[in-house]
Amino acid sequence: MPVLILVGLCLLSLSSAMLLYLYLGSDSALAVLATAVAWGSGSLWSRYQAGVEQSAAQVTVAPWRELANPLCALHRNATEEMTSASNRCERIQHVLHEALQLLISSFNEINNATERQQGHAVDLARLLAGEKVLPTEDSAQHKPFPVEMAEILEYFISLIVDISEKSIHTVHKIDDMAAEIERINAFLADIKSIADQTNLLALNAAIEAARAGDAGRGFSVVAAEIRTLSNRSNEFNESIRKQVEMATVITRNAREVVGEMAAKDMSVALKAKSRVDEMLTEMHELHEYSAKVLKDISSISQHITDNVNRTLVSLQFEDIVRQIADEINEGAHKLIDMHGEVRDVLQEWEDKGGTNDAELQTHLLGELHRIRDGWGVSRSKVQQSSMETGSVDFF
Amino acid sequence: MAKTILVVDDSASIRQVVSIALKGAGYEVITANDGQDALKKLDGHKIHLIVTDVNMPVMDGIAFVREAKKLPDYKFTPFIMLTTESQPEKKAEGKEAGAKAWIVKPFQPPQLLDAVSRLISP
Repeated sequence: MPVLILVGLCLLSLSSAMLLYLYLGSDSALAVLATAVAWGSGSLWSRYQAGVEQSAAQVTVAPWRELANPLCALHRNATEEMTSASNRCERIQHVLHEALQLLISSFNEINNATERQQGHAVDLARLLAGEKVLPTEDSAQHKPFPVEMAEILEYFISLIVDISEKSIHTVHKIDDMAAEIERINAFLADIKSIADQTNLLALNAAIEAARAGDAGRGFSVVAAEIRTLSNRSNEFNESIRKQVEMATVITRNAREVVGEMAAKDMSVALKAKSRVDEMLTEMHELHEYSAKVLKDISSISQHITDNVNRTLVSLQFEDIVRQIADEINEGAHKLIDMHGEVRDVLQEWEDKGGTNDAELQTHLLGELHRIRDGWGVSRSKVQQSSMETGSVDFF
Repeated sequence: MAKTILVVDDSASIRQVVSIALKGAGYEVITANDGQDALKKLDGHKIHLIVTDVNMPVMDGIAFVREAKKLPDYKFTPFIMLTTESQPEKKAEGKEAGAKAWIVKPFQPPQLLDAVSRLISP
């Protein structure tokens, strides 16, 4: 009977430990279990020894089956509960593993997509800032394409406006030249008049020379020469006049062409120039804005990187939890095995008819001590109790 | 050309997390489930650095380092132990086996990348 009580209390202690194991976790529960076994088979052993010495003969042996049956049932319940706890632990690990695989896969996809999105955003901002997205050998020497374009446009518009102004100036010069030509024409008319008068004078001289007879013969030759010179002068004058007339025609044509150029409406070009100036200002503003956006993107990018790193730290929880769960599972199996050994002791006692034989009691208690002494709380390989980052050592 | 790193861990999630961190920094990554699987992967690959867990089934990380160090091609390959173990005696075992660094999980990706870049140039 006392052995039965002792074994029963042992089982009750183990069951209590098992329940604590389920609610408190491996380390504390295993410690409680060890204590329970020690209490059950050690402390009770002392009490029992004292009791046996006092009144061994007075002990009334109760029908052993009446006590053995509920104890066996209790043992079965404890083992079933422990097995069930172990199964639940394995299910938790399985669900956790699958959920985390999905989580990591999604996170990886999001991370890759964010990196691509970030790359495109940076390219776009650079493009808006007028930077070349694809680097070339001399890209550092080149100005941004829109800026270069605007500057070329501004150069051409300035050139057109300048040409227009110079054309007006040229028209004025041509007009001055035409006036000068007109004055040459007037001089030519004067020269012709002088030549005609000289001719008339020579004619009169020839008449007077004829009237003088032989004395005037020499004078007559001079008068004829003067008439010849006068006629040649007229011919030369006419040639100059014709050349001047041609120059006048050419000058008039030139004036028409240049005048037409100068008469063009420059307001469009001037308006375009003003618009190009605005464009350059806008371009400058856009460049500044894009630089700000790029800076923001860079800051956001750092923020994303920090969060990615934090997430990668958090995602390691499954490995830690899985190892802790493995240890709990191992503990549960150890408990089941121990329950099995206690059951064997109980079974032996039952097989022997539950007698109060002292030799049997000593043997059974020795068995219980062996089970107790063989028990040890295993060292946990996982010391982590939070997601705080671990240490790094270099050897 | 990118350097190749072998990642050995029985946890699929750790293999993935380490791969994401290393690939993000431009390294090529090969993975193995345990020490024995890793020894097979050493054949036919030019591996510049190995990141290995300690507690693994079949062959643990410290036994793997010892075995790998016996191979002529991997005698001077740096090993980083990445584990939940933080006991000094375990670290001493890793050091004695030939590991160059010991990182306790959970790790920050920059910590791992810093350790990797100290041992091999990118």
